[in-house]
Amino acid sequence: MHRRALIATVVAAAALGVLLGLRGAFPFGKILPATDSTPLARVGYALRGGPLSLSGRERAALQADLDSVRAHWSGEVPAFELVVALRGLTTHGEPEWTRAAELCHTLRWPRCDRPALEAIRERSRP
Amino acid sequence: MTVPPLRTVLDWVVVPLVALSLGGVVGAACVRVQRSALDKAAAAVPEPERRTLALLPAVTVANAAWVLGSATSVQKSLKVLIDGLPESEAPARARTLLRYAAVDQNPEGQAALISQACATDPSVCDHLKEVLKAETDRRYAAPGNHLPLFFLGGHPPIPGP
Repeated sequence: MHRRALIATVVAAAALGVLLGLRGAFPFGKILPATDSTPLARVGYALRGGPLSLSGRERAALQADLDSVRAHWSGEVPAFELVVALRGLTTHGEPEWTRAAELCHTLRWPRCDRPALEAIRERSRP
Repeated sequence: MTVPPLRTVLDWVVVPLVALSLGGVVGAACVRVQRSALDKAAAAVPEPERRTLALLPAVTVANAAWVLGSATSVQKSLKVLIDGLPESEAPARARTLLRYAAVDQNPEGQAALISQACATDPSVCDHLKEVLKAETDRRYAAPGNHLPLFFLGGHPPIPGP
């Protein structure tokens, strides 16, 4: 009985650790060898290039990077989200026109119609 | 009060903590593996460009705001950009300051920003009007889609008596 309780505790602790590691709640990743890129650089790479062909897991990782950048963005968060929507970073490179229009209205930009959004998409490329 | 034996502390405190840490490392490693494609792609970018990757989100948002954003959005996005641009990126800093000047409604503020742009990148000073015109031509909304009055030389003819 005592032994079973101990094993259950250890398994529960390990499972909790995996969960926290996946969510980045504790800096467990710092134990691993460092990588050159940061979430900001990876999002920058995604914004720079053409259509991204990412697997489901890689898209989830990009989403985590986007969340991280959004959380630390010092400017207008809707403006950042507008760019993400127009470049389709979470939708296989397909622009999210409806969401982009909503964000544009939130920002109170002078024009939020489709041709205006297309112009913003084309001309915002770094 | 009795002190628990060392074995009990080891079993119920130390071992679960070690298991928690190992689990955490496994979780973090899983995240690292998932993002390896973007990591590798970003690492494959040639060095001078790779250093600017982290600036691209701010550049993209500033460009988007510059096309059709409100004056407030333009100013906020340009502030984010100029805060992130290193001193070595003088041409980009100067262009950012010129955009800031173009949306500034105060002529004195405009003059100060243009002068700051000149000091940041002296090569811009030689053809300031052309550089600023190129920037204002890229903007489709007021303010900032016309050259500041600062640059419009001459005076409208005054009819004689």
